[in-house]
Amino acid sequence: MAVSFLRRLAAAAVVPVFPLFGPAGRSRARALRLAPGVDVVASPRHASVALSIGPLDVDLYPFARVVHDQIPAPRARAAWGERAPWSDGLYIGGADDPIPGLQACFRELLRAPAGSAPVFGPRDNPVEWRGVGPYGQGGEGMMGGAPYGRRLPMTGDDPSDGLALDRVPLAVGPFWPGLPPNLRLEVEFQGDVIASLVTCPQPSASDDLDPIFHQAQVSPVPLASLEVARARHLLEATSDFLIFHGLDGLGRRLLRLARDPLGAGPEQIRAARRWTRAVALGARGIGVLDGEVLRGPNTRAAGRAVDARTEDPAYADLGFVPSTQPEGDALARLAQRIEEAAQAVALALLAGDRERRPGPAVEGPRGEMPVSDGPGVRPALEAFAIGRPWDALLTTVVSLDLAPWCWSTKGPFSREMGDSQDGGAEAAT
Amino acid sequence: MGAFWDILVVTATTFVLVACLGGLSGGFGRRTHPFSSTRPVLGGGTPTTHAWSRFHVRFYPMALLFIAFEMEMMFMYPWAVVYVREGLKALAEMGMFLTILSVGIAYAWREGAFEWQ
Repeated sequence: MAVSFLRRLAAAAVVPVFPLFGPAGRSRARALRLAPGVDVVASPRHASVALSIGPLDVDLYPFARVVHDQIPAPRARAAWGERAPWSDGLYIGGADDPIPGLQACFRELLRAPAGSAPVFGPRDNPVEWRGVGPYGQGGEGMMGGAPYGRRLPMTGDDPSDGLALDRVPLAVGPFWPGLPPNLRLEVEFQGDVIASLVTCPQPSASDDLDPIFHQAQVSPVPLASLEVARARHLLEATSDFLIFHGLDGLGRRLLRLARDPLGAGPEQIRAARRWTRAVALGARGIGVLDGEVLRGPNTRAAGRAVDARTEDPAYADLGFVPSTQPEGDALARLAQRIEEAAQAVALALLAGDRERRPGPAVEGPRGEMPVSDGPGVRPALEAFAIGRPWDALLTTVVSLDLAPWCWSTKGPFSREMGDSQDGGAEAAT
Repeated sequence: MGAFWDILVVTATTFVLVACLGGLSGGFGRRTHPFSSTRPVLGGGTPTTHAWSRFHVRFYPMALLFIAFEMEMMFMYPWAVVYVREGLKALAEMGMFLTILSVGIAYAWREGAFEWQ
């Protein structure tokens, strides 16, 4: 009696959901944050439902299943849209509202926890403990050997003070909150700092940009629509930064502004810049990158007034002057994005029903189209990370609003694609 | 003898209680954590090395300095008792002790030990 009452009480709570998405599902994942009845959590350990927001690239399925397994039982899996890593569980059409389905699924899960979704991975450790050696670790001395099939970390030179201790390699992503979709980081930690970083983007068939930016390259588009889409993208990227840093309320406020930037107007967006800057002061001085290698708002946040719109005749008599920030750190990029969103809304209000003709280069929300972070961003990031703590790297990555490597990528996702599924089993062979 | 029995009874009760609880949870509890649920959350990645690694404790010099200078305060409590009896002589001795310690602080300061990282 009491237990069933408690279950009913729990079922009335918001549904803790961990979203799994690629570039194509990014906007719907953001919309989910504003939806009542659903709590988008930052870790699968806090979730009850793994929600695949499709279409998801097939290469990401094994990673999505690993994350699904890490949700503690009772867990449920759901797919919102086509091409999910699982064919069973709740299915919601791509254009449908997922909330009623998710709530019903969560209630059912709490009513009958035995119906928890089974794991994809192994139930037992595929490699047994082999206790050999003086410490039972399976090798000679303190090092070597492979207890439970995973080798012990080996020593390496320390990037900051030269004390040679263990280097711990970790592959993080692609479903790590804060990382752009389809990005995976291979990091080697030396204590609390990063000793080496390899960025492994996964090419994707889809994109997270508004289609109007691609359309503008080949056909005339209304200038106001282009600028509103820009403002929306910039505000959403800023909200990602704030939500990643735990400022959920502020992030959601920006997401609400992003739903209708024109209705909000430039003044309300500029007001948002003031309170956001005040709160996000912790990002000051973090992630200072060379403006030369960056594009779009990132390079303008490092003091370079480079903007394709200055050469565009459609903007000629609107009095557009690119704004810049001198600092070039994460806080400057945050302020720059909000300022540019306000600018874009002001331009949209001025433009009326003017059309923009194709021909001159299109300035997208990440720089000149076709969208690309530029060839220098990944090497710059990899060089930046060395000797820095993990939080500084993540703040930098989130503040850059990196493109989810749609067509600009050179390298494949990861050389470890095969053994990432069951590292233990692979290492033993 | 009574104290010994008291301790024995408390110890025995603790052991029996722990054994009972352990047996109960082992017998009736369900193991709901398959191996793949217990792996560390890396956003889809899985660890390739064992968790047994030597971590660089960067705060170590700072912690050592803190303990060294905190211990000097420990010496001051018994000294305060002696000071009441001995007067000026005890004050001079503690003054010498603190002077030597402050030379140590000055040295650590010059070496940059108080700077983080």
